[in-house]
Amino acid sequence: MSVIVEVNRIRLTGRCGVEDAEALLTALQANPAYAIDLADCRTLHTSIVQVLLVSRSKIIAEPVELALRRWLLPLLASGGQAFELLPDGIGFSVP
Amino acid sequence: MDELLTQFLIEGRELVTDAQAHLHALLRDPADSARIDGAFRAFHTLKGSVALFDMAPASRVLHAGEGLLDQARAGKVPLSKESAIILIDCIDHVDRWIDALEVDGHLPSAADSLAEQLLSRLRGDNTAVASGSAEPAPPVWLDEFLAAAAAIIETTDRPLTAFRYQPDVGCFFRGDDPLRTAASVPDMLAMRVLPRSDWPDFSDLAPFDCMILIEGITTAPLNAVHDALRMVGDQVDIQPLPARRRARGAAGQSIRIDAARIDALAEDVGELARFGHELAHAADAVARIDAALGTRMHQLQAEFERGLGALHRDVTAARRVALGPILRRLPRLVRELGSELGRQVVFTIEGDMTEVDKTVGDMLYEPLLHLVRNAIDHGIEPPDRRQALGKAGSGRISLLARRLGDTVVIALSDDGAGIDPDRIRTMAIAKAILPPEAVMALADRDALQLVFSPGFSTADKVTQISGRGVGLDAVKSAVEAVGGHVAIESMQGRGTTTTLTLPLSAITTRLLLVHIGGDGYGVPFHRIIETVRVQPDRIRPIGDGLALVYRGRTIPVVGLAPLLSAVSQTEGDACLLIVEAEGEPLALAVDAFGRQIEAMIRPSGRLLAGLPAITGTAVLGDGQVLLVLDPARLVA
Repeated sequence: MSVIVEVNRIRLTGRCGVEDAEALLTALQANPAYAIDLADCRTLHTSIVQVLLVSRSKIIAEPVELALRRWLLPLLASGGQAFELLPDGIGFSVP
Repeated sequence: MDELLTQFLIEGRELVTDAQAHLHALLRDPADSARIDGAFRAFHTLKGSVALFDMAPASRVLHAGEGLLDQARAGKVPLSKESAIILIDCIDHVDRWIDALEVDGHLPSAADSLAEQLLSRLRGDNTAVASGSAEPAPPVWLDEFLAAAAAIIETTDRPLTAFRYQPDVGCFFRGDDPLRTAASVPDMLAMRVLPRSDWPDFSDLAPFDCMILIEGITTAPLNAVHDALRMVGDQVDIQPLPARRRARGAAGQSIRIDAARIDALAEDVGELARFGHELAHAADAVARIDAALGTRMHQLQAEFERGLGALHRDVTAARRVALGPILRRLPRLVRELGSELGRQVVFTIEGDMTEVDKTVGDMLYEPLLHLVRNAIDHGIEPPDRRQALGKAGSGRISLLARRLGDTVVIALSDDGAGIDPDRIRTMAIAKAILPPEAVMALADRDALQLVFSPGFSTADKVTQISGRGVGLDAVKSAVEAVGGHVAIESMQGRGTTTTLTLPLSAITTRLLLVHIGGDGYGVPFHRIIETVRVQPDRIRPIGDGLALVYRGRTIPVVGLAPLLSAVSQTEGDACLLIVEAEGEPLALAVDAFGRQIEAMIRPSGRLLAGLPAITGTAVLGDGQVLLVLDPARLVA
């Protein structure tokens, strides 16, 4: 179970695969103003990113997973327009 | 650039111009012996020059041309107009190859075959002449993508590889995950995600159809991109992008703009950001009366924010300047100071292409100069002392600048004597920087940071160079004034590293709103490494504090509420901000995370000066004044 509808928000958790796209779409169509919480999301399939891009849902919590943050955050922020990827390994490795 | 090459680029082009002038004259009068002589000399000298570089095709072409002109000069074979045209063509190609040598450092791969064509034309053999230019025109998508990503690409001068990946509509059923595949291409610089046609309405969305196409640019070579995309090879178009092609794009042309105009633009953007917050509040209010209209307004507001975000990125990019010119004077200064003080120093700079905001760049020179002086004066030992210690006679000082997320980190390291924390403690007590018991309680690492305190100077005798009555506290305040921070690390006998962490953008700051004890506070995003939500039982008491094991590391957890004299009102998952304090990760517990805003931080006035943890205030859309916390200073 990766798509969890809560009060005012929809949480995507763990590995969100293509099979979760329809559940997310249904949840968003029922609650279009709900924001998306990606804090516990590990991976996000393209099909789900498409839903987020088209619905233009507000992201209220960013994913923690570094590999995902790298491209997903700038992608959602730019709505798909040309964006710069975050550098690899933004984490604890501050020199 | 290599001096020999610089010289060649100037002289080589002069010879090209020379040769062209003579050859054009020969088009009108192929028998003009003075012109034939002039052209011969230009070809001959140029041939000698190109031989010094990796330009074999140019060398062969010039050699053949020289031979033809030599025969005409000796009256053996008269020069024809046709020959003059071919010679002009030859010299034009040499001219282009000189450009390529300057931009790419080597000739284009097609140079060899072009040279062969020119040679056979010079031999009077026209059969091998190919039609038109050898380079195929770049696809339309590439030009469009390059224009859209120009601001990002111009940060690098390396050769790039671009790709366009158009997944099949039904690719999800085969188990493809196109974005993940595209993001797996190594060293990705920029991406773009476009709808295949137009984005569908939300109500018409077919979740299992892939409706996007992806474009990407990487610094990885062609074969690495091929390799990463081999599973979907039939759906991708990969294009190598030599540095030269980019120069034609939008990024290549530059104009000079008065910095004040950019500043005015930045201020306008700041105002618009405030308007965006107001819009969000208005949308909230509307939503309470009419849910559908509220949703629409929220969508419009989100679109506005997105556009504004792009504008903000463009303006901040326009304000960025490369560090190179700022650092240019440092090496000479190191040499001068070194000889003055009898030190041998090897100074290296890495990352001088890194860009910083103009405001940051403007203030950076003095602090860096001060730190470099300190490193030579107090760090690097005299050569005989170094040799006695078994170190190389020459000390090393290195400056490393690099971009790290929303910050630019500049580290200045030396391999000198290092700093003795006990000596710092003694001096701090002698100079009454802190009460003795407070000084003695400091860990070595924290004691070192005392060198940044006002009134502190480690030189026992004031030298002419370091002792100008300005201490390292001036460095600290200059860096903090632009929203950065400074830290020092040292190992006795091994050396010292001073790290300046500077914000990439000095206009508005991205803040995360957090709730603590019923009040809202802002925390600058560049201070947050991660936000984490964990079940409360994962936070365990360790010693007399709390800690969380996260990603294999034990991170101390500190509640912010007590530090702000507030009472925590939390239930359910613990909300933690992971920040960096004194070089170590630290988790700060807050009651809840709020939304993110962009705000102009105003330095805190006198009223708040007693609260060092408050870096300033930000005004929200509804006029509410938000206190902005500096998490690192909060627990210092």
